[in-house]
Amino acid sequence: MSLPKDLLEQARLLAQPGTGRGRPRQASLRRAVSTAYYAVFHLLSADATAQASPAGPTGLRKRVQRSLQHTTMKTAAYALQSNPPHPRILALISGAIPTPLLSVARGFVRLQDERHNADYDLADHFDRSRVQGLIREAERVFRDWNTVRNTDEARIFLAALMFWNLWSK
Amino acid sequence: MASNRAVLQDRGPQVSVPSHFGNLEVVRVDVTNWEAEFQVRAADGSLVGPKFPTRLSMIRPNSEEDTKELWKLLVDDLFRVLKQDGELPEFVKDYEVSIDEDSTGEPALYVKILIKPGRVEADNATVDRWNDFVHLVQDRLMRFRLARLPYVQLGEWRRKR
Repeated sequence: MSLPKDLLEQARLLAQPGTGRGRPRQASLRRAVSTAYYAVFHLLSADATAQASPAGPTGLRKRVQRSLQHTTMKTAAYALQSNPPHPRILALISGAIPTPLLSVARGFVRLQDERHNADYDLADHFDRSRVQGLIREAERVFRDWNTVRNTDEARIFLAALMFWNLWSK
Repeated sequence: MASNRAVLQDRGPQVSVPSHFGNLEVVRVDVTNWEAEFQVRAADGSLVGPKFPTRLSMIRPNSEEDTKELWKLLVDDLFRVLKQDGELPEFVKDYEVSIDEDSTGEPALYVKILIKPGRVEADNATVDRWNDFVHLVQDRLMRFRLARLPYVQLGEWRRKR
């Protein structure tokens, strides 16, 4: 199984009730949210890198993948799912943005923000229903990405995830 | 809105409405028309002067209009409209509204939808319905083109003790 799918499976396991009785622990729920985000992050970053970089020489693509920035990716995803989409997006996508791609962008934004809360905001409480919703959101991103990933609009999205901050030039 | 605070800084609380002294207060939010109305509250507690309508998209973060009360009223009105249109599911028990910065430091509006949890883990169809409603609220908030980026979260409703 690939790393993104492994991470998604790991997120599911973390959110399950413990081996004993009672609710999942806060630590497990928070790690589940973080892991669900990283499943989606690696899903998209692997495709973005494959599009931007040749496979060889050895190590080049992994080095390029390391250059992806969470903030840039979120800004790009937000720009695509905005209503109307950002002018930089509209300059490249003339027709309607496919619904599955909007779903991917929306899910990415939601998961990244919740991952930030889960990892850093101890005042925020994570309960089972909230985490179930987020894992299900990640699953939806996987499904919708599989539907749309070979379209021109998805290729533009992948480029935006990588180069958004440079596109203003 | 332009502020007269710099000119009149030594003369008590200022508002962005020219020629008035007092605290600017939101009196109504109308999501159908994408606007909010503000009025001045005088020192004696009464609302005075005309009401000033402002587009929701024109309310800048950290301006005098950008108060928690404003965002609460906005979400209240949105949920009122959703209920009126039959789009408020029965699993929604309450909601919470807060303003903060998001993970990238941008001003954000957070709406947490509180649902009543079951005794056992919810099935996928149920969770999909929760998420569909999260997306619906998110989409409605996005339409207003708010300067605060809207985020919608899920949470479990607990009976207040």
